[in-house]
Amino acid sequence: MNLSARNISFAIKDLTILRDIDLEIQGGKTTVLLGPNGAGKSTLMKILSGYLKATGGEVMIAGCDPEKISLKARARMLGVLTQRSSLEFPFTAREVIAMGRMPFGVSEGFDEVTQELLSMFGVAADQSYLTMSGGEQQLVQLCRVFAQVWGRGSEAFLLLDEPMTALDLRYQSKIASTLKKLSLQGLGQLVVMHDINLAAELADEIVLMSHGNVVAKGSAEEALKVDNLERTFDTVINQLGGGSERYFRAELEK
Amino acid sequence: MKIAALALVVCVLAVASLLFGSADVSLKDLFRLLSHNDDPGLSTIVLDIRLPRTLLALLVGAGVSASGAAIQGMFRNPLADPALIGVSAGAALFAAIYVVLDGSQGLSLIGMTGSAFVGGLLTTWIVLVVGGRGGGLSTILLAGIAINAIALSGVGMLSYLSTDMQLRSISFWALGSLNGATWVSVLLALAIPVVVLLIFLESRNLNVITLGDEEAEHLGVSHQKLRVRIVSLCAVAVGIGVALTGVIAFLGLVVPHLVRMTLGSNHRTVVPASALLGGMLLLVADVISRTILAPTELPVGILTALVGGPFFIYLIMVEQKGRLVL
Repeated sequence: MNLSARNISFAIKDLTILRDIDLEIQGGKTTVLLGPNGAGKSTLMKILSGYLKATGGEVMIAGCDPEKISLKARARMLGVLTQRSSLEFPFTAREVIAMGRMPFGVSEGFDEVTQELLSMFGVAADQSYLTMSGGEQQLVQLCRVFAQVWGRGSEAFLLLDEPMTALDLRYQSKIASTLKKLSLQGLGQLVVMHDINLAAELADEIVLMSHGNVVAKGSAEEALKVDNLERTFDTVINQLGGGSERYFRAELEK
Repeated sequence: MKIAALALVVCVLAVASLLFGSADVSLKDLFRLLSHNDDPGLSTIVLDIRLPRTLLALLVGAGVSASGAAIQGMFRNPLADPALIGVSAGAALFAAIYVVLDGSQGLSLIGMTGSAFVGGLLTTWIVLVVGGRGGGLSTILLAGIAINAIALSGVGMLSYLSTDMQLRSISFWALGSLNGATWVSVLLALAIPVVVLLIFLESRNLNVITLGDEEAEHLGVSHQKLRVRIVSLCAVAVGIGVALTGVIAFLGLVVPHLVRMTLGSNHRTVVPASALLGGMLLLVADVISRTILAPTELPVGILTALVGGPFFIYLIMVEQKGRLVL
């Protein structure tokens, strides 16, 4: 099952946000979107998830126009983590995670999937979401999205906008291993992130974006090159080491 | 379980409320009324005056509070009030129009209630149409505030133009009172439990919408359609309530808040618990308002605002203390 975008453009009045983007997410493969703030990554994510309609081009989910798929059916195919969720009510962690099971008609939080995610990530099930730290809240939101695609294998896709935000190293590595595990089960993934080195580790394909355009695309080996990164981020990038040991970092401004 | 306990308390209080008022009625009198009715005076007081009043308090309190829970969930704001969608102000305006246009001294219940109800729905519809254009929640909120202000200025204008007698009717209605409860008003209010049930059926959707419009859509819930359904249901529930009893301040705001503090945020609990607690609190407030200054009555809306306001400030302060993330 594929999620594909062909010639996607998006503009608000005279402001062009995306220009002719081609992208294909295949089952079992992970695509990572890298780019500076304002490059259009989140907008592209919203278009792929069907929340926004592109002003040009077409999106296909498993060969279908997303507008022709009912919201319920789409929710069973796509798990989406947005950048900001505005939860202002003292739901417990269990209740928030269980919301991810709603497309499957389960919502009370005592189903197997919710229980498994709670214990897997060591989330305090009955703690109020509002008393959690930013990182803990992010973890709960991630678990909610995982709950939506858990066990679905190649029947679903995962679209994550900056999943590692506010997470400490332990949780970053835990989430990264979970993404790898889900990928092995056949789940197609699109992940927006800022950590180039983590991206290199996770991605089957990397897409570098800047000002609404694709700057470079390919395997980590092909796409992650100093000149591509410098063009993308408009800053000086240093490469340390080589081969599988290479490491990129932005040079500090003098 | 907690809901069942709450329902039991409501039943006990409902029976107890029949004992309070300017005339003395004892528990023994109630039993006598049930077994063999030999006192027409007692029967009038209990069955024709107090019982409809008790039932109306329960129904209106339930409708306003369950709507408060739904509106707060939908606006993702625990401080939202059902009045935000314009229903109360619209009902007030149309009630005032009816009072001023109707030359006669004796106002008809159906005429007044009918015009208030139509006014409430019409104003909510305008808020939805105007606010819906921008697409965002904040647009509806701002449209609600503007249209509220316009409607209330209309009420002000009509109060200015009205005679002393009419002014008394308008202001008494705006303060909220269960004084006019009859079996006809109870019959009209029977639509409220149906609407509350429909709101309850949206509980899971309300849970999901609190995550955000986009998040709800990714979980299979259209925020636009849900918004229209919730606003319409609340307009009907609150509209009937306001039309029958006038504006009961603070109930729709405080009750769901109180429920969330004690029973959590899941709307499958919050909606029914708010309905029960709302009915119960309005009933208690009404008993107090009709006995505290007996033989005269304090409009119950004054009492709910007088108690609800400071209590709400207390709630806000307690809640801010318990939160890490603001």
